[in-house]
Parts: sequence; C-alpha cells; structure tokens
Amino acid sequence: MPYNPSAGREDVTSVSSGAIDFARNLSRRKSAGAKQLLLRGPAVSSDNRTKPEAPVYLEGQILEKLGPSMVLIKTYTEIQSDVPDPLTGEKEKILKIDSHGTGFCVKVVEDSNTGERFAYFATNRHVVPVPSQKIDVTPS
Amino acid sequence: MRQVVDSFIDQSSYFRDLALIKVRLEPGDTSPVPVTMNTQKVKTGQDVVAVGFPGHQTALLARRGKVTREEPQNPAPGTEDSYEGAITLGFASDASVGPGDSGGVATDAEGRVIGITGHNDAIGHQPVFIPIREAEVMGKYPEIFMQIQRAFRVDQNLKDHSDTEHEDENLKRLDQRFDIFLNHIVGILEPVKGEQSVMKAILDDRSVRDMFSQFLVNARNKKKYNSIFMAAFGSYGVTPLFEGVG
Repeated sequence: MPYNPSAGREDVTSVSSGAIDFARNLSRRKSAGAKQLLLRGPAVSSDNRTKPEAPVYLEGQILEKLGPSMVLIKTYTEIQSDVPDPLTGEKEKILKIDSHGTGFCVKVVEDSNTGERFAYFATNRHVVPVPSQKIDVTPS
Repeated sequence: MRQVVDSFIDQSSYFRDLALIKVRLEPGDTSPVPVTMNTQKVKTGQDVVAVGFPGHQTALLARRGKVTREEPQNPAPGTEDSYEGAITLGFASDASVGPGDSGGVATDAEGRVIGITGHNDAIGHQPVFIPIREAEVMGKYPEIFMQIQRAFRVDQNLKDHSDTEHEDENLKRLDQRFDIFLNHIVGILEPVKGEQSVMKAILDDRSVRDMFSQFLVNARNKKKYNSIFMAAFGSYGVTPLFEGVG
C-alpha cells in the first residue's frame, strides 16, 4: 500500500478553524524580562562568588532569549448561551476555555512552491487534549 | 488571524505527554525563533530555569531551581499513588511551576532547552520535565515526526479493523502490518537517507522506539522482526528493536 501523507488527518480539520491572533508587541516581552532581571540580581555560585565559567544567564536574559520562541496556547469550545439576547432574541455563542498552556517554537519552514511559512510549536498533549477543540496561540 | 494547519499528539505511548502544532504564518509576520536545545543528560543539582505562562497571566515568567531527580520515580503498583496519571517520564526540579506552564520549557544555565514541562509527580509532588533528548525527533525534525505519527495512526486503524479472535490469523496480519509500517517509515525517511547521523537519531528516538514496542507487543517471533528491521536500517548503526534477540 503506498504511503498516503494525508491519511489520518480527519481529526485535525476542525482544529483548522481555530483563531490564532499573533500580537507583535515585543516591548511587553522586554519589560517583563527587565522586571525579572531587577528582582533576581546577579548570578552567583553556592560559595557566593560569581561563577567563573561563562555564560550564566539570569532569568531576565533567558526570558529575553526565549521570548520570541514562546506562545501562550488556549483551547476552547464554542457553546451556545441558554439565555437569548434581549435585543436580538438570538442565543449568543460563548467560548468556554478548556485548557491553557505554553508552547515553544522548534522550527520555522518555508514551502518552496508557495512561499508560505509555517511554524512548529511543541507542547504537552494535555494542553491540546481533544482535536475538536479550537486553539488560540498568542506570542509572549 | 492565524491558522493551525496540523496538530499531533505523540501516540507512541499513553504516558508521553507531548504534542506538536503547526501554524501558518501570514506575510509580514515576525517569525518566531526556534529554541536552542541541549540534548545532554541532565544531572541532579544542575541549575534549571522553568519558563512558561503560569496561572492565567499573559506574561512569560522564568523561575530558577535545581534538578532534584534525574530519573523518573514511579509509585509502586497497588499504592495509593499508583493511578495512571501518576506515571512520570522525566526529571524533577524544585523550580516553582503552576498550571499554564504545561508545555513550556526547562532550560540550562545558558538558556538552552533541556526539558518540556509536564505534570507534578505523585511522590515528590514536584514538577516533572520530559527530557528534550527524548523528544529529539519532535524538536529537530517536526515534519518527520508528524509523518511517522500519521503512519502509526494508519496502522492502528488497520489493526482495529483486522483483529480477529484467532491468534494465528492475528499473527499473520501482524506480519503484513509490520511490512506496511516499515515501508511507510522507509518512504518517510527517503529525503534524509543519505545523512547517517540524522537517520540514527530518528530511528533510535524514544518515541519511535515506543511506537515499535507498542506495535510489536504481541509478537512471538521477535528475532524475525529484528532481522527485518536491521536489514532495512542496520547500516545506519541503529540499535536492534529487541536487545539480546539475535
């Protein structure tokens, strides 16, 4: 049987409808990193001397380094409200958050035929537990 | 708005708490930056920094700690803690980690990723991290990881539709399924077959090995499957499917 790369993909089609909002505000990330840096102070070894071997990153530096790699992931289910809107009479759709977690970028690839770019994010399976859920991905 | 175009959980084992999502970037997007990984084995006492989004905050946080246990420690069967969720597959740390950190990272002192944040263990009640060295294929070769997951899923569908009550018949069908699955793997690895170290890394990867173990759990003639596997991949210096079986 020839290998069919699209086989077994039926359970991810509903994920495709998930809305992913990529904010581009890097300053927020930088300010978060700066706070950490101020709180933690310099890196010292157990004997209270600065470690001679380099480099030892502070938490703030690690945030700065990893910030562009990290995303906040939320999965949610769209449910219909029981209560009709008093003006329209329609029952509103409500987003019920099922899980939230973190993901990190492991690779960015470009399709040489279409020029489209894709990013792969690793995470836990319990963050993405049910493929029928929708997923939000927000960068740090 | 961005689109998740693919999403895969690691099916090689129920307990491997790993998943991968593929997101389409729009023109003009700033590309996310792939992390740097350190795949060396972690050591007890080594510095570790947990990075993620704990609680319901939208701010990324980093918290320092030490590796407190480098090997998994699972509760004894039959004890109060020995429920399914208590099984752990990683190293533990005293870094402060909370809900929302799941899927984040543990880094070494130089900011290189050494682990993926999982759940707390049942014994020490400390956060457990899946070593990044055990998720190497997912991290370094995500396209191949997804294709192997698909092939495994195809096989599991095949298994569900072909299992009978007759053991001999099932063993014959296992031969056929193994042949199909192996051909899938050969096809998937075709683009990297000239790269010895990449082939070895993929074929010796924990998730790929777990997949074969799950696949062949009822196999009687392990020697036969070892021979077929080594005939296909032995030249890459890979470990046999079953150690100690000729």
